[in-house]
Amino acid sequence: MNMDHIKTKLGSRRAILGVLVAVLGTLSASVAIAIASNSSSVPQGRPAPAPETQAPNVAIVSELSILNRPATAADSLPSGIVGNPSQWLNEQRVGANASLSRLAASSPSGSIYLIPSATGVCMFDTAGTTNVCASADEVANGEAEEAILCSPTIPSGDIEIGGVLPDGTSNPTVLLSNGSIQPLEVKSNTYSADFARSGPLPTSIEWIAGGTKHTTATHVPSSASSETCTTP
Amino acid sequence: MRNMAVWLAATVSCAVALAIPAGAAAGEGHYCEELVPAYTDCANNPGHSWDYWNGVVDVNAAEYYGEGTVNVCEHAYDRGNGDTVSDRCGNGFAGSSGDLAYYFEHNIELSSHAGNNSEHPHTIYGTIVN
Repeated sequence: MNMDHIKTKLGSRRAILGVLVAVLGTLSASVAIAIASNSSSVPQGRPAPAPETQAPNVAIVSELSILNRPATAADSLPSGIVGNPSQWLNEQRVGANASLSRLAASSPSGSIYLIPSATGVCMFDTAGTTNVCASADEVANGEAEEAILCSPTIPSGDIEIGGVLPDGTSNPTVLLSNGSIQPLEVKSNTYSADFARSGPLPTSIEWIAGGTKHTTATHVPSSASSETCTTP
Repeated sequence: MRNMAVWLAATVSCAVALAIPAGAAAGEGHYCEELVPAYTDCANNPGHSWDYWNGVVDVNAAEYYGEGTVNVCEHAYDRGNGDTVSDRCGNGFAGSSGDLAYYFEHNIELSSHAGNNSEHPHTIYGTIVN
């Protein structure tokens, strides 16, 4: 082995080492950026998912008697929903039990189910619009509500509010941003109402229960009126 | 060279393991996780870097775990044209439901956001599933 051969061999090893260091450097930088941008760790302060409830909560049954009626075949959720993350994420968090579901309303676009959870109920619309879970207290206060500001499931020029109201409510209405009031149709404790984005937006829901007027905010931001929504 | 290759493989394995911490649900990622001012998107919260998620996702959700009822919003934009794909607000939780399915199936990158839609500062969590 002469000196030239040794130098060539050392040179090629140095070149390979250089490439490896460059690759490792790039990889480390990529991992560091990935960690800085997003985190896959489970956040501190996040409670563990509630165990699947085995029976409707006593408080929620007193508010939603539909959950206590005998089940029929129509009450069963369609297959493919339970466990599907895009549809069952919140339900899984709150211990909803699909085997206890009750069909609340049907339309050509889909069916609305009420599903008992560990502390309350979930409203699930198979059309892909309202999907809200709430405690019994929130249902009593009218806070079981979702505002859909952009979704492929509704026309891009509309927004929708959907939610649950307890038994014994009467004269449910929606207060709009221009001060006008319009009736809110409630079917088996559930409602779902669309509004033109270009018109007055719903600001609160009002109803009478026990002789008292109740109000809850819809939390629809005013920016919804100028939002540009796209549908694939 | 063989030792070098083994060392490289071990280093790469460690780096990947560090990037996916133990305890994370498969396919679930988290962002924001910070005190967010009233009516503010996590991405507009000054001084924070983990405040939105760019990439291909199946679900985006905004969550609040604390006491009381706090309204939160999730918001997903098409990174190509900036249009809103999904925007939903709810008390304690707002999820994109099936809104992102088309983009997930077609491998289209979105910018996923979460925000505080209430009148007081609260700790808001963003979650994606991919």
